[in-house]
Amino acid sequence: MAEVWVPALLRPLCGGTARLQVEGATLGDVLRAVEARCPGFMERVVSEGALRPEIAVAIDGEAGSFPLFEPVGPASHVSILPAIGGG
Amino acid sequence: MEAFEYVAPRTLADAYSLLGNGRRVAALAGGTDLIVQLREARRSCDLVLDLKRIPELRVVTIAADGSLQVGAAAPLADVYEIPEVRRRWPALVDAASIIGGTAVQGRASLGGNLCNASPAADSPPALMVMGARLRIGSAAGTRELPVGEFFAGPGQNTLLPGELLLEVIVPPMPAHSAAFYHRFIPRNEMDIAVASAGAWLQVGSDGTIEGARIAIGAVAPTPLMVPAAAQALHGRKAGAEAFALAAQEAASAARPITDMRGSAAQRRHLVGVLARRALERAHQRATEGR
Amino acid sequence: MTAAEKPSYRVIGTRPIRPDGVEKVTGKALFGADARPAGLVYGKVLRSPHAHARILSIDTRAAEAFPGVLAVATARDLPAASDEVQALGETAVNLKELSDNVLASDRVLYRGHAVAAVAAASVHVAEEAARRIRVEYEPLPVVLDVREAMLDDAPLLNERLLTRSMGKTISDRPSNVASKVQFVGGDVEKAFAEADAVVERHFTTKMVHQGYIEPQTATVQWNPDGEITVWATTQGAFACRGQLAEVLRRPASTIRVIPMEVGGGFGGKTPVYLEPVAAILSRKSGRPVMLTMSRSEVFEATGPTSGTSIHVKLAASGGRLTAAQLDLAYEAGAYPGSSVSAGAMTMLAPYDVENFKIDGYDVVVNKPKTAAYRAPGSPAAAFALEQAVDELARAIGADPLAFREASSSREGTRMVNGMPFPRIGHEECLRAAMESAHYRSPIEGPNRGRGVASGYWFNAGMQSSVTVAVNTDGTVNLVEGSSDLSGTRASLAMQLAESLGIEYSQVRVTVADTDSVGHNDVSGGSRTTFATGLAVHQAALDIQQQMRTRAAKLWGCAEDEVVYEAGSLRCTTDEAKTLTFAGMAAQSARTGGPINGRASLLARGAGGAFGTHIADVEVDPETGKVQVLRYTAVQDVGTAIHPAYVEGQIQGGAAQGIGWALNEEYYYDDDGRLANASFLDYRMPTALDLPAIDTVIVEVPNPGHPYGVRGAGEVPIVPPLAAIANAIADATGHRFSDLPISPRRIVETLHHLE
Ligand SMILES: Cc1cc2nc3c(=O)[nH]c(=O)nc-3n(C[C@H](O)[C@H](O)[C@H](O)COP(=O)(O)OP(=O)(O)OC[C@H]3O[C@@H](n4cnc5c(N)ncnc54)[C@H](O)[C@@H]3O)c2cc1C
Repeated sequence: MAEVWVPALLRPLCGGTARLQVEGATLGDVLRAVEARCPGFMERVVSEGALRPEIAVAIDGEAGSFPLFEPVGPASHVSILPAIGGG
Repeated sequence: MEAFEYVAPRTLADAYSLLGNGRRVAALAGGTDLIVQLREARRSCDLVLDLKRIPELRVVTIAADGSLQVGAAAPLADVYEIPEVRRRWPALVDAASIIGGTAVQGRASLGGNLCNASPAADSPPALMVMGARLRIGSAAGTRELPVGEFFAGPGQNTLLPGELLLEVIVPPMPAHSAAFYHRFIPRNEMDIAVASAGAWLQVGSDGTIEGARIAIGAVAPTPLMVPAAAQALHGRKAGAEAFALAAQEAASAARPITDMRGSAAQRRHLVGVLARRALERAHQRATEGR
Repeated sequence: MTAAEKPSYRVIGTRPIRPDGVEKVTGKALFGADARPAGLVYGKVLRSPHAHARILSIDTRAAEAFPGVLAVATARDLPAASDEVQALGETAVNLKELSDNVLASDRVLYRGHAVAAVAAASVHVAEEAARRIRVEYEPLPVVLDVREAMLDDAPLLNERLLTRSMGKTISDRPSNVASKVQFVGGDVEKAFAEADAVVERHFTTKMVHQGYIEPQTATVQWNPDGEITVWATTQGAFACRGQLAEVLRRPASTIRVIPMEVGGGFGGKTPVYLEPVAAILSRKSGRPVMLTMSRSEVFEATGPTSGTSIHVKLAASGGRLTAAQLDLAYEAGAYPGSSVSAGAMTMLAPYDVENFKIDGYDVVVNKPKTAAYRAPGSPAAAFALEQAVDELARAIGADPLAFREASSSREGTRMVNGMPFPRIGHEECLRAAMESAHYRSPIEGPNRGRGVASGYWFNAGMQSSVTVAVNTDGTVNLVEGSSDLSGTRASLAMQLAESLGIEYSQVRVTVADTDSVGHNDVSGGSRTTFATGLAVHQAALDIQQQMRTRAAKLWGCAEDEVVYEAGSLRCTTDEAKTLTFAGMAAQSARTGGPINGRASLLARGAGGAFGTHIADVEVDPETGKVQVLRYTAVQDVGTAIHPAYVEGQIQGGAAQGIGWALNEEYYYDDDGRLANASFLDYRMPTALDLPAIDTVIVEVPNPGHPYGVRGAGEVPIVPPLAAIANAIADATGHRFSDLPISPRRIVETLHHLE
């Protein structure tokens, strides 16, 4: 199961939880699995089939604007974070 | 930048004849103030009158009476590179050698520094405490006045229409006397004084102050002489106590403003510190080798 | 890493002369303003005298009628831009805002905002004509300070701006707060309640500029057939092309951007300002047009980095950092997009802090739109955090470096965004600092003090493309597209030589234009030596593979029996069969044609890095002047490909940070006029203001790069602000929490002046 780190501002959707264990072989699967537990999560993070420009994801320490088909390992760590603006 | 005419006369008479006639004429020496002002459209004129081709405005001589005579358009480097000047008027070198950098000093003149009349200019306080005089000319003749009476406000001097500054005359320093000038800048070069102070001291063999002058810069619309500071020193023993009193007078004479270079409070405070330190250094020079 | 562990390289770690060195020191290198296409004319931009105003009308007739004028441009000449965000390397830009920033349409948001432009045969004619353009303004109230801009009754820059946060609008009425970020972990309240010591303090920093020597300049030729050529001074020719294509609504393929040598960028040469305007003027005049900014235009109208207001509360327990409550507000300038999220994410990076709550706000104000500046967002955050850490260490009586070591992040520590760190080198930096001759020397004498500070930057990966042509004489031509800001031609050529097993002198490098190489993201985020280096290495592997295939055919052995090693091919089953790189290259025509290696990639595995700096200062308590007596910068760079250029980066970053700490600031009057828009009054340090900066290179290789490169250019500007502030606190007994710690601030504080 992948571990997902829920950002503080989205935790209210997940009953205050910071970390979730979910199944999923791709980033899209993982996010959909989070959505199932935290309704409303997906639209905060994804629009038009891709990560929102203001959102980035880190998979196992690698941060970026990944495609939803990006593979996620069974013991991967996934963080949702704000994109680095102004950099 | 607006279009303008440029003339470089060879004689003073030709220069005088170009002044007036209802045209806005800007005299040009080194151009390190003027060209910047024209380019940035802070100033405009119909005619730029280049003074550098007029031989008497370029000469630097030590006259028979021992005074130093500096042509108004002579570059600063031509002044401070003369060994005799370095030995006898070190306070002039204090000022001239910190105006801009080496490149600027190869162009910039004392005349331009004075005529530009910046409250923060470096040469005025030094020249004021050395008792320098200015020779001013026009088609009608020449006149002289002490440097301290030359400034009317920021960017304003007391030249009348038709007049040019011809020469700066620095008298010989009396025995047992010396001057010193310095400024405060946040960096160590390429900066404009936040505050500055010059001091001249004449000290008797028993250490009594027999003559003193203090001038301060960048703390009022014009460079200021501080007669109260001189009075506070006169007749006292040279030393920390007397210098502190004079420094206090210098600080109270200041009428500073707050701008991007420093605050009024900072400047008032600084000018006291600078006056005290200038007195210490002038005293050191005056008593060296005793 | 000990010497024994370090792989031995032939080329990496040596200090050859950079390929662009001779051209640069002999004055032959061509910079942006050296472009001279036939028929070139010059332009001048008219800028707003107001910091905030509505544009009621623009009358250009008098300028058009001015003798010698060839064209006049206003926002009406730009196609209407859509409100969408484009990725721009480390930055994202909103194209409508980009377009409005290039030429204001209905409103000016800062003094110096471009309003119109004129082209003429001479720049002086253009300037005089521009002054004759009549612009009618309705001045609006001005807001300049970040916290004032956040107040309920603050003047609004944009009546439609609502606060966004993680994909959602969170405000129901407009404000100047464009976005909010938040990071929370552990239980902050509890940790503060149980702490041995707590420190709380508020910090501010002013907007500062990168201060590159070369002003922005752009030359554009728009041909009647629609083909556009741009001579640009840019950190990324492709980013320049992308922005231009969007603002002008032209296909990317019709625009060719030629990257000229860059006279400094530091992040600031990433957005476009002049290129679209020069393009419009060229289209209208039929001539190539050059626009060059004056120094005051650079200060007033290009992107500095944010002024900030940061509140810090820290707790220590059991000799280490246990809790942090941080509130960061960053000025974005005229349009949203400050570096606050990076500030918020880097601020605690050096430390393993279990309990934290971080709020960050991106706020618009009537000042120029901020741009990247070396490790954007991190230096101001470190200024605040590292002073508070210093105070906390003092409060519990710990050595400041030992306290940092006890609290340090290491592999596996989670960043505030939940990301676990891979192998990092903060502890190694702290230890190297503690063992340095500098830290072991006593600091003696009145009014002297010592300060230390650490800092972190992510470093970036992003996209790179390169091609490598193998010549028949055994030399190679590397064609890449990363603007060379710092000696990257050398660091890339060295990696190529290492990977191919050839000499550095056999590699010639060209930074190509956008028609001549595949896409490359900007040279920014300390990514070029890392990511384009990765591409270079892959292109070398591509060449090795092609050579092995050919050697196998030549020798009649299996491909997997051919090894490529140290610049030679050999057959493992027949020792007599060997060929050097040059020998193989010589046979290329007979073995299948030219050998070209290529690679294009989205680089993964960028390695974040830390630095720890030590500063000794002497303060003149009477004048407030600070002299930096001694300075040592320790930094983990992964692997130093070219140690001299790495040292140069570290020294340059430290120099800029020292300037930021002591004197640099955007000094505005109440009407929003920048009063110090010149190098005379924007006081960057000169050579006389800095000591020799000692460097200690720490090498903890980045597992994400074949040679362990992390990136070196940005980390060194992060620690100096706080290191200097901590040294001044040590020297004066007073903690200065506002930048710059100028002589004015010091005397006003120490002498209690009003
Ligand atoms: C980079 C730089 C650094 C500087 N640093 C300093 C500094 O540290 N300290 C400082 O004090 N100044 C400084 N300045 C200002 C300037 O260099 C000095 O004021 C200089 O002495 C001016 O001399 P000039 O010969 O160049 O004058 P110009 O620019 O030729 O003239 C200055 C003004 O005087 C008028 N003028 C000149 N000669 C005459 C004359 N004979 N009769 C009547 N009017 C005349 C001109 O019309 C003009 O208004 C700096 C300038 C620059 C560009």
